[in-house]
Amino acid sequence: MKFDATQQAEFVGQIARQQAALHAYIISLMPGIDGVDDVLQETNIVLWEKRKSFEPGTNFRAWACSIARFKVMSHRRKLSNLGFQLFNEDLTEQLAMECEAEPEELDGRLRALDTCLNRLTDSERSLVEHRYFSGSALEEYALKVNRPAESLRVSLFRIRAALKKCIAEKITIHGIQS
Amino acid sequence: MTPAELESHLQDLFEGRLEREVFENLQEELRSNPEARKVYREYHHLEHALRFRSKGVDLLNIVPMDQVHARRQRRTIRNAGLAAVALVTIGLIAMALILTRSPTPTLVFLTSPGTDFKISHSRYGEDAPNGQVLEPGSRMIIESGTVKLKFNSGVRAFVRGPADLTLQREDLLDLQSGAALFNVPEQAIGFKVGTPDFVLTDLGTEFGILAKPNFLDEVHVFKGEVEVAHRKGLKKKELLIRGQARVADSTGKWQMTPLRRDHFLNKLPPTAPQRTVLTGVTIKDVSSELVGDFGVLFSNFDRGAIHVLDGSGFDEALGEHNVIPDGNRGGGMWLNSGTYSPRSPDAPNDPNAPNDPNAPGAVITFDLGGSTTLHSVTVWNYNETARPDLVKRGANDVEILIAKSEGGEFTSIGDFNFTIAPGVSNQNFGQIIDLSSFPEAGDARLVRFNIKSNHGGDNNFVGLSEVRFNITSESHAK
Repeated sequence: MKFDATQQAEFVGQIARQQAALHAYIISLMPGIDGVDDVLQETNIVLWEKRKSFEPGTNFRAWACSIARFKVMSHRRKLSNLGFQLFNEDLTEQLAMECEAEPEELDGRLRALDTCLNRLTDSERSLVEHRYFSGSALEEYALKVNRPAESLRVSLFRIRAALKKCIAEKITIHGIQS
Repeated sequence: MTPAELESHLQDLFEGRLEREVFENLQEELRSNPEARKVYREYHHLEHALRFRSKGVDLLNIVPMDQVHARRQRRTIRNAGLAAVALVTIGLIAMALILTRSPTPTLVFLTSPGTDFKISHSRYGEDAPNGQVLEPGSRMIIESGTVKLKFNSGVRAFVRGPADLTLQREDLLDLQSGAALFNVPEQAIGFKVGTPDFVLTDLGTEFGILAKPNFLDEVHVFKGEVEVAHRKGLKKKELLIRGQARVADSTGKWQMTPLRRDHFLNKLPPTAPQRTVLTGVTIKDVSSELVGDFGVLFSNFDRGAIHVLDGSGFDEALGEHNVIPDGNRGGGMWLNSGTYSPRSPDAPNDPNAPNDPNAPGAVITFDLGGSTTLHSVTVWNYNETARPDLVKRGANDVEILIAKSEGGEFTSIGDFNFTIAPGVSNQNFGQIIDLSSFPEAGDARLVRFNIKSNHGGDNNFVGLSEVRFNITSESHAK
């Protein structure tokens, strides 16, 4: 089957639209394990390689998630061989987010997160941004702000708990309003 | 497990710092308690949202091409097309965003006369961009010359070769190597340049970047402000303003360096650069040279360092060097003394037995005769063929160091591999080593080769046939 330019553009658009869903799904299958971005990238590559085997009109997201799942399991096997502690596969299946999240739902959570982040103080926000943006060690940030690293960990715990609560409230309110 | 303990353990889980005993307890709790699984999912959503949001402009997880390629190589490439497919994927994902809003090319470019470059696109066949155009995923390798990049966003850049760049997105250029000057107008603030050492985010400015293979990258700010984030080690970030310049050091910190406008071009040279050989170069010092009479069986060696400059045994026009090492026999190469010791019956313990104090290895220093802007150095390796293995005496791993003045401090610009000579006299085997992207080469008086190894030759001998230093119309002698 020839894959013309229009089909290519449509296919790429599909991949682009499902990035958040794939990211969320992959994290749900490998909580606390490094390599989420790598697995996502590998998934994107396989999606493109197999583009001609995708049947238009069928559920693209389900198909993409099945490929992501295969990639995660492969990654888990490697980590398991290296002695990393991983949830049992049956529990992983139980916990895994069903790959049905609509992009709009994930967008809603991201918007809610933005709102909730704006409620943080400057120092709280700075700590969160360091943790999730810089990728460097908390100890380094502790030196910068002249606070013990353990104290920052406690703050992060508290901030995340507050963000979780805040997002849940926003989603609930949005659900009631819509 | 109490709710507070559950929350604490879940946060530790997503942080990747949960201890083994607790891990087992948490696993059991999640397996048996639906409420615990609900809390788990809430934290999972939060983790996803925070991490996905942190990607910012990298929302689509577009990774540098070299990383994709390297990852593929580690996994044993099934066929050569896979890397290309990866590039196509990435390019197309980026392109999907751009197609809808930008019918004009993302970037067009102009070149100076004589520029030697090649381009590969992530799209091919009928879909490949036409003309002097780069689209996301396009890679340009500039062997020599200068290229002007004109982004649709208004960003302008002059890139001096040798350079290797890839347009990742309309607002993200990956500069693997090269010297480039960028001018970013107000509407394009946020434009990013990635190098192997750092990522620069423009805040409305003019700045220059030196990206050097196997060496530390530099940023020079001429107007406005930029933010630079180190990719390695401590990953330090710094905000730089007009007049500041920094080197990204190997620990992840930023070191001050003098602001240098002269490393960058702000217009295309009107004529092709003419490479000419620098004259007046002399040998400043050498760790040893095999010259003299050491006994009946080993006599009249004439393999002094001067032979790498004097043209003996060398056809300057053709770039061919013969295979005779001794200047007094119609040839002329330099060979150090290595750990050689003569075994002559007449002089079994000759006190003059040559021995290089740097063996294994050797050091040779050239005096350029004055402050010089060097473009490159051409080396012809040791080409002796009295036995087939003698070409292995040729220099192999060589550190090149440059000093600004006589008696000045030497700065290493990195290690280079010199190619083994072919062992024939009818072939130009000159190896050009481009120095133009190294700031130190912009103001050089002394050049030193610290030769660390040969190609497996005997007695730790190290030698060269000929060396020439080149300047161009863009990089003239001062």
